[in-house]
Amino acid sequence: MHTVVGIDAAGESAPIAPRLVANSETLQTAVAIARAVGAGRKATRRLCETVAEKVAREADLADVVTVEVRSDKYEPVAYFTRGTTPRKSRLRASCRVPR
Amino acid sequence: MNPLKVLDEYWCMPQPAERLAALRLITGLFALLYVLARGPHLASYAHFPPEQFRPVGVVALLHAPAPPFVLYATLALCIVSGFAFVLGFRYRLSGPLFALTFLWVTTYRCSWGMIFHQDNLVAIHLLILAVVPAADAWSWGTHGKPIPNAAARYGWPVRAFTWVTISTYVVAGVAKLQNGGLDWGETLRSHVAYDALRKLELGSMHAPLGAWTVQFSALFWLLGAMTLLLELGAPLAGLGGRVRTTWVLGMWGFHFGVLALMAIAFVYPLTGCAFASFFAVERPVGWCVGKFFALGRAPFRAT
Repeated sequence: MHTVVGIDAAGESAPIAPRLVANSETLQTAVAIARAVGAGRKATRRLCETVAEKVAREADLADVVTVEVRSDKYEPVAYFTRGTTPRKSRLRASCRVPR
Repeated sequence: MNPLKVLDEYWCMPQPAERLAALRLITGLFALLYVLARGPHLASYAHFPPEQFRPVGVVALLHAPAPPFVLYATLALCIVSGFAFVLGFRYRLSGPLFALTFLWVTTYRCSWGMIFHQDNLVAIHLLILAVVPAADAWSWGTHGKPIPNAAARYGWPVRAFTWVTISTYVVAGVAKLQNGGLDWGETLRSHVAYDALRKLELGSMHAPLGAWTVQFSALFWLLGAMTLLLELGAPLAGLGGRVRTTWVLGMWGFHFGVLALMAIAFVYPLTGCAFASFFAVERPVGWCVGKFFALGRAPFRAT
């Protein structure tokens, strides 16, 4: 699955809320990220930069310094029974929050 | 006995004009409130990246996203015609206008890669109401006019309403069989886990109960079997009586379960509106209309 996460100065990551990625609908957001990743590097980079611009305007996300678009592979049931570490992880795009 | 005659008697059984009017009020009000509540969300598609546009259904008439003002104007028209629809005002115009604009705005929402199935049943119900005499009772301008007697023209639309609802569940049941076979429970377990995982990783609200229950495989076998039984057995609800009531309660429980395990609210069935045509809804709705009329504000004829 593809996600957009924010990274703070300490390197801690947290998901960026769907409304800042596409709109308030989570599943629509999942599709929007997948579409950007599927369209290639340029589209993924564009999504990353667009989200970073929105993050820069959010007071609650003042600690976020970098936005990343990631692709992670999980085994759904194992995620809740054995641990949340992805089986595979790939960085698709990374961009600094413009402040 | 001639089966066609039996079918004709079942399908065209005379029903009161008030029952169809009650369905207009229930479905119309639900759809109007839905559009009002989801207005900002529906409008947000005006600024989606054009390259993500994947038109479906009626929106496939477009080859590119409509300019934002077109979406805003359609939404406004949908809301205005929705009020007229509920009131039964200029119904021959407002009925089709509301049904078509609702279909358009909800299909436009589905034209960006994610299909929201929950809007389909409301849209089909509105389309049925748009072409039948659903404003012959309890509508604007029926002051002092006698309400027509029960007739087949009020009966078949109610049957159509019911069977469209039943069909949606049968289609869902067949799709589950195709995807997971008879052992759909394991697929359901994996689906519930994936849904919760996806929401957590995307920074959204998930259902902790669903995440916790995925460790119990047997529970999902039971839930999967019950879901298939209810969905594929939906046509039995058309027989009426206790079978219908049991099925409706079962289906309502199913949707409540989806809410509890996946944090997905299918509001139309959860509020009971989707099942209104299965019952004599003109009684409670007539009571509400009467109360409203008694306030001296409604232009309806109460009884």
